[in-house]
Amino acid sequence: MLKGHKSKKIIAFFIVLLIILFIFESPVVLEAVDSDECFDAFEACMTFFSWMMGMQYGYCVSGYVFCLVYL
Amino acid sequence: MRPSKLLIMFVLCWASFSFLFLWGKDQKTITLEEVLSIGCLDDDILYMWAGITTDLKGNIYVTDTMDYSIKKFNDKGVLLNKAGRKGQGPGEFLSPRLIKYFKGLIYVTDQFIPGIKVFDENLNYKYHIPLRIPVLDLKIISHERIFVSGIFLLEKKSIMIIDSKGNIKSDFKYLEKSKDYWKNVIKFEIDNERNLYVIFSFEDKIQKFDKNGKKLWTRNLLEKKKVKKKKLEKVKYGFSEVPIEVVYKDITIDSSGNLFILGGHLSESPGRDVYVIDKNGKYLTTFTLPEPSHCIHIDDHNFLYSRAGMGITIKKYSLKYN
Repeated sequence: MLKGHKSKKIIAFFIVLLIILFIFESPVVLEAVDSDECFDAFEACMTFFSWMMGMQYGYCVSGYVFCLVYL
Repeated sequence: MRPSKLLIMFVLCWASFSFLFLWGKDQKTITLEEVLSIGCLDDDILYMWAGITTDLKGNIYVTDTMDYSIKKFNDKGVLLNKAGRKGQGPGEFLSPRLIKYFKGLIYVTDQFIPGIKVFDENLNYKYHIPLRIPVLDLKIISHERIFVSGIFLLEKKSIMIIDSKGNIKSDFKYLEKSKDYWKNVIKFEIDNERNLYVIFSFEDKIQKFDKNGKKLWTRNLLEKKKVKKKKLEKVKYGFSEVPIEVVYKDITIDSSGNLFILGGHLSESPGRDVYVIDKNGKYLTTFTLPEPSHCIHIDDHNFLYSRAGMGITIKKYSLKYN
């Protein structure tokens, strides 16, 4: 069994992880409508969350690429 | 004037006319004739389509990103079927993107859901192919050999060949070692002889590989112009700068094996210029679409499809080769 403070830390870590995953559900990059907004959304995405998780980083990049191509 | 001088002048004139005539003959021209238009401001058939594919009967399948759905139209443009809604369950979408038809099955990718969803011709959901990476382009040569290019950040850059269960059968390395991540972003096309053509989104480069992965040629069309980049000021980890222009947007192939490449921001008419080269990389001609598009598709009957009306309209053109 884990000691009290250790288990709390683990629970806190998973809560933070869940929050990050929840935030990624919103299609940040694709809500952009023109290239400037697309860039801003990409930058925001990169700055705060993407570097944390390699896979989400990839989705952010692919969204940005699609924006550039689509526009 | 002496007869000898007259003769020389005649020969020179004849030679120059012959040259001009032959040169003109060598320059292929392609004109477009609109044969169908689907979707407009007055209807709600399409909200913002992203991907397009066709079957052998001429039916058209599209992903409608804003409607979280895929739609099937017949060759007259009549909506036959629609599938999908917002969600992450089987047959549901958050942002459907690429769509490819192959022998009775429709393969669809989603921006936010990993993997490939597979539907039948009537848009009934069949199964899901799991994948760990976001897909940038895919081509299917058999149901057990699916070519996928994606966003690779930590892994080796290549086109993966996967089966219907998502297992990697082999991979296809298209890139020399490069530290510049953005140079890895590509789209590709495969011809009947299984040759692979790669266009680079952020670099003026087109390459052809044979089915064994041997590079056959490399060429550029825009005198190696470079895309503009923007520095990221806030980002501490990851990229320091990102491209804000695209060189080539899409590639497709006609029934003769000629490649049609849609130019991006560096072209004279961005999103409208289509460069045509033959399978040996020889430049044939350029034509211009009436409206900017993000993709082009040529079906088995040599009709070209592109975007109009900022994504609410599909235009179908007949290609006239002169």
